[in-house]
Amino acid sequence: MMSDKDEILVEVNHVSKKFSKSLKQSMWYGLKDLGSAVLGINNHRSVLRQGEFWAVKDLSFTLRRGECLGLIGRNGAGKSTMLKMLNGLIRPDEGTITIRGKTGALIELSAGFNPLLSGRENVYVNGQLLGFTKKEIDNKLEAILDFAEIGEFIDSPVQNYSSGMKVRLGFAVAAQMEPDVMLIDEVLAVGDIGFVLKCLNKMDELRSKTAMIFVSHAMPFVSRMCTSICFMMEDKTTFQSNDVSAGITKYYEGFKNELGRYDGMDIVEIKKITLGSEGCQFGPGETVTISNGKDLVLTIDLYCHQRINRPTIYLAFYDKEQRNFAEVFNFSDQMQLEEMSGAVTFRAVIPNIQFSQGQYSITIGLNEYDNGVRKMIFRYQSAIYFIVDSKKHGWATMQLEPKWEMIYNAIAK
Amino acid sequence: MENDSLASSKMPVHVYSASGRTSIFKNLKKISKEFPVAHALGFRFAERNIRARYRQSLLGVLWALVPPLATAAIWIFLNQKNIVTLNHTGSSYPLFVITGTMLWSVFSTAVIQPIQTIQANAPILVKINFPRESLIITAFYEISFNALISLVIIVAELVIFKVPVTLYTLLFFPAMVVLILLGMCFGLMVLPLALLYKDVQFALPTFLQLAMYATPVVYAATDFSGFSKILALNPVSPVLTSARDWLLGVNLNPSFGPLILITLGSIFILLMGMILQRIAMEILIERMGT
Repeated sequence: MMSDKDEILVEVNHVSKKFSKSLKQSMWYGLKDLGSAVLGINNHRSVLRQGEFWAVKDLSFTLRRGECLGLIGRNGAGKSTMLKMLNGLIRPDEGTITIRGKTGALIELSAGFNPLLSGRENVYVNGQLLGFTKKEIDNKLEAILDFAEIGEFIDSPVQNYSSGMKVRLGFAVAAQMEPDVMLIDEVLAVGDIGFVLKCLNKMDELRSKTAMIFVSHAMPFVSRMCTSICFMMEDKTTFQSNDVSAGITKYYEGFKNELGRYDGMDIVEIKKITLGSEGCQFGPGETVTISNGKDLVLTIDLYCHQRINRPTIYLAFYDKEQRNFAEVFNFSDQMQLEEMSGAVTFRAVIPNIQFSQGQYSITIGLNEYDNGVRKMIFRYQSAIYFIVDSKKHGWATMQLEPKWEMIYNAIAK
Repeated sequence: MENDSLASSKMPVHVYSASGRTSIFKNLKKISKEFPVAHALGFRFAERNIRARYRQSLLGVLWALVPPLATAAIWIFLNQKNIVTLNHTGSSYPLFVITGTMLWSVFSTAVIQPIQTIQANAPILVKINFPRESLIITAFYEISFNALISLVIIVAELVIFKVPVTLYTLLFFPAMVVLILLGMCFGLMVLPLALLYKDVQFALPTFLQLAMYATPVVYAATDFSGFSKILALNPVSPVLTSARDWLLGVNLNPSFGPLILITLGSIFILLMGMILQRIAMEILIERMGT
């Protein structure tokens, strides 16, 4: 006998979907498709017409109850198209999708909200839109209001709500669903951290009961929620694996890095910045990947057109969300350089980095002290990018690895 | 194993594929199966729309009466000043023309409303899977609500002009329902095209304005003899004319044949329109984007 966990709820079999680039053409093809659909003519859906492209090509996966698939990829990779097909909104042009059970979607949370009506009135509309009966909503109203934490605002028109409040109310209604297959698209982007955590807890609760498909650009959420990953790439190939962190690394590697802003005077030229670990250096344009626990080696080649008095270099580390999570300010303590001029090369070795898996950038700044006044020579935002390859993918950027010791354990005695 | 198959047999299975064209009959079955849910949702939507629509206005629902009354006023003026002479028979001209424009406004709302309702709800149509018929049901309730407001004027008319109320007067109501169904037929037929090409929506009000003059609304069919061939082809005219005649108590026995034919025809076309909409919607959603 199969257990609940072995039930395959979602089967996606070589699914493709095409779209048209130009609007006029899209409308014309729409009209033709409409005609052949009404007349029941088979109109070679699997052939690309002029101006069309594959938004999703030959995608397959299966999902059981209790599993959560992370669908990741850059904008335009076809994630939303795939969700629409799974939701039965649009038909695949090739292949089949089989869904067993009730489908629920956390997609447009405040869909159907009318700004002039009160929160309470909108709960009923939205609830019925999601498939509840009026009676069910009556019964769940307490739970919804509790979850949304909107208080007495529930009887004010929704146009007076903040965007966070709207999403809270929307999520609160949607959270009452008991689906077998759950589709989630980037719903945690709004809302304060308290609410986000609440939503994650709710989703954890749902995850064990459903087959979940989770679309997000926020990799910490993906890594927290998902049991497997499907990285959809622009060339319509995919990377699929049960190793979620491998997929996330692939995703981060896919980004061409925008080199940052350079502010400063032309006194000092940056010749070269290289990054590496323990002897392996990467050239410019290469993706630098450093394993967690290894040393990070940063080499900076400068050319000073003028004499710089008491220079000091600082480094700032940023994560993908542009949070500045680490700084280096000890240059002048160790170097105690009175002046520099002409070509200079510095090297900084940061031992045993303990970063979470992900992509990071380093901002480099150079200051001088002229008669006790600090002057900025340059500040180079996101001067270089690197990826940290790690099995650890946590909420926090720093993943510390202390040495643990057992001091006392009553049972062992 | 048996347990499992029992458990999974309870779960609905959806298969989406390219070649999944379903027959008209299967579609009808699906529509009727989902109807209770679609109806409840459609009614809720209509309630929401009607409540919200007038919440920001002082005169509220009365605005629905302004366009037909304005048209009627113009024609009463033209007729009184003898700028246009209409030698229609029966009731007084103001009574005749107000009833006519009211009925026409019910009809033209019925044509436009399904398109408007679906267009207004495009953002949720492309994101949420709910019974697609519900928006047509919403449109039906919105049209009916407008019709009810028109009834206020019509009742006032009956009182002011002291029109005797007979059993025939009651026939007015089913005739008005047929008028709504007929209007929705036209609306549903052009709906897929209207959602694809905005031109239809731009053209429709003008077309309806012209169509009003191809229908005996401000004049009687007897006013222009040369015109009668066009009027005979116009399915709106027998319905509108009989509704008005029954209300005003003139020419109480029209030929029922065309009326019954039009009624049955509209119900049939309405069902076809629902199926058409169902087939069309997934193609249209692709083109409507986010």
